[in-house]
Amino acid sequence: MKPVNVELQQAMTSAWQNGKGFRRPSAAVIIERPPAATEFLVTDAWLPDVISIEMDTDIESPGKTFTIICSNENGILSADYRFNKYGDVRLFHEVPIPSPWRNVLLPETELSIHFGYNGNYMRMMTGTIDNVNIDSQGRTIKITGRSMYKKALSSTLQPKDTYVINDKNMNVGLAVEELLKNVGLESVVFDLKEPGSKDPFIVTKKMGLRREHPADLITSMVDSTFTVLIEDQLGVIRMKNVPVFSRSSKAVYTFDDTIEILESDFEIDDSEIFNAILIKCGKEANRFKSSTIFRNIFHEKTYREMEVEVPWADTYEKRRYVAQSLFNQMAMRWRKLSITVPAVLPLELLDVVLVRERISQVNWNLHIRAIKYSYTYDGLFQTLELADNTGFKVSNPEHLPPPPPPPPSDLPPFTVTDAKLSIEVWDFSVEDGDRMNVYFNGRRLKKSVFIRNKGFTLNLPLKKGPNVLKFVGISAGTMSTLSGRFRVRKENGAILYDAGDLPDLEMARTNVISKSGYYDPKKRPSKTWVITRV
Amino acid sequence: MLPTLYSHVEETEIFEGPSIVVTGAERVWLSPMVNVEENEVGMLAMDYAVQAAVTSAGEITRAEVALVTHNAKSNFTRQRKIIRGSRTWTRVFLPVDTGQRKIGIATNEYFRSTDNARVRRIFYHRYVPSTYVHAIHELKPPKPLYGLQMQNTLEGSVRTQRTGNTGTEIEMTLCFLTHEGFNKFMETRHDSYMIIKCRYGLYGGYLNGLDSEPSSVGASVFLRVKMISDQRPGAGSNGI
Repeated sequence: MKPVNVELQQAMTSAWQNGKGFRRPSAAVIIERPPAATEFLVTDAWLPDVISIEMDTDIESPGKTFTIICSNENGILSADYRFNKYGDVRLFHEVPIPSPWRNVLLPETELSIHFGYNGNYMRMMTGTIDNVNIDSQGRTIKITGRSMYKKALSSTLQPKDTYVINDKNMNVGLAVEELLKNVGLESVVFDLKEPGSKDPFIVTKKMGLRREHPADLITSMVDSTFTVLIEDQLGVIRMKNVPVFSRSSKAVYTFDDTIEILESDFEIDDSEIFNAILIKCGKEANRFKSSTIFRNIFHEKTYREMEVEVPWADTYEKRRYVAQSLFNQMAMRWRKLSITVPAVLPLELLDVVLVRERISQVNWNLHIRAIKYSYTYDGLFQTLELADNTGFKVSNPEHLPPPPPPPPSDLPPFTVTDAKLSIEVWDFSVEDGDRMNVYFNGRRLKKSVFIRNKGFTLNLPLKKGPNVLKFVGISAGTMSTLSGRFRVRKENGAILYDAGDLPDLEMARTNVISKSGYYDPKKRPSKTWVITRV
Repeated sequence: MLPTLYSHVEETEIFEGPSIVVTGAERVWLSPMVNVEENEVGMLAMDYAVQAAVTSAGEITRAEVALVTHNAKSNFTRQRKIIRGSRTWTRVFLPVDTGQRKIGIATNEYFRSTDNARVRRIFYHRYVPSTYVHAIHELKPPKPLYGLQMQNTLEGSVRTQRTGNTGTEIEMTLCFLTHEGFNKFMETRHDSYMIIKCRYGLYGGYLNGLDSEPSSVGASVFLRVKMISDQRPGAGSNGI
């Protein structure tokens, strides 16, 4: 909810929106001067003779749409108006005038829509015209268009090389910004990270070819995260986190059937609801289920599964995150309420409102999915599409085999809650050429690393459950055994286990095949260390 | 006061621009003076444009210009219309009563130093009593044109919103002694801007042809008409 001044607040909440100098509905459409409008003079001007304005905004896409109808007596607002085209076109008596609106109301002309109650206006949208329709019988002109996100939908990309996004490791958030920038749109985004491990969501492939629309790429990336793109009133695309939906979250406004609800339409629909989702990422795939949907919505009688390909979901956690996001979107489609009320202008998409309506028995918090504004001779109203403020969780797998037990740990296992740890390893005696490979959860972190006195650091992103760190000896060095000492630090640098708290790494000098201490490659010694994250 | 309907006879250009006439807050500009003769009324038509920037957040400021008329005899400047925000060339028609009159533009305190108002051309139109109309009969007091749109909420309380315009509808019967007078009036006057002066004030506007009801009794012809004016009922040319 945007901030408002007291006057506007009083006007919106009053049952009598009808004072002469205050509280009555008002609207302004401000047209920016296009370059070809030579008679226009000012840089921007209010559109005169407005009969009606309609504006729609929706959570599914950042783009908003609008329709404006104006009276167009004498064709003054027509873009092709020309002085004296049909003899003396006269506005009054003998005074022929050229129209300043020549070459103005054309596709791509920029405008902004402001709604208000008398003198207190709020800017609602910035957009450009798509279509102009002139009705000669009715002597009206109808202007339809979309907000600035239209550029992402209809403009095509212009990459400098082959792709706009050349970096495969770019964060999805930054990629969205780059794609929007390429078509001239300003945006505010953030680095998308997996909750918990804080692993970044990366695009994993080059993207953004010539002749592609950025919106197509952006929609598929953003839909599978817990974020949405919302265009603000100035035409800036803003990334927002989808809030955690719960009936107990705080409502910013209350709609009551005795005070302002004029129409109400409540719907319960399961046609787009699935209880299982298969998330695929290349060759890897996981199936996630919601037992809540299966039990409460399908009454255990229907089984519906959908399949989604998500290129960046390369770990189980990320795929689970996608499933959670998609289940949440289903929750929003499950119970829907549409109400028509006198327009409450500061309400924004995703705001939580409380609705109390006797016939549908709705009396709980819902959040806003779409807003339709209508300004006509009948007044200024808005229709709010609301969805239940609740979410569905991914169920824990029930019938899967129990996870394999972690391998026995040679070094003392320990348990942490941190998502990241760093372990410093160094040789506490003579640097005699001790070398080893280090593996973490099956992935090689270091190859034949020389253990010196100065040492090296292993940065470990821990997944939930047991994590296996494995040291494989390559060379015991010229003297005695392969040895090392550890110090374990948390992500913030605090020492968890200092040198000496843990036993040293020791690998016996057996199966050595050369003087320099190299082990037989087939009989290398190894030590495992299990670190459990809860 | 006998109600009188005035119709147009001639126009004169009294100012030719375009020029920036006002810049910044709380300034007034007045046009050259016109003399509206005794037993006549006038109408001043002015092309104006306003450049008023929006705020850095893109919101409309409270910058307004008032279109004013000035009475030289009483040295009083009266607000006639309030215009908020930027406008490209727009023509305003302001009827004025007998006397020495000027038309002008005044800015309010929210006008910024870079905001300005311009005037392109100003015309003075002379209006004299319509010779064909013998009398005006059954003049109704001005009726407001704004509406109070009533909406019922689901559980039956009232919500209202005021819509429509601040204008006026004035209903009257024009009496013509002969059908020739009626014919001439309909041919040359009926569809042009007119001014009525009566005890309710001075109003300028158009007769709504669709709403007129002609009838005749003997040789006389009567025309029941509705005049639509953009002056506010009760105020007429004496205010906003």
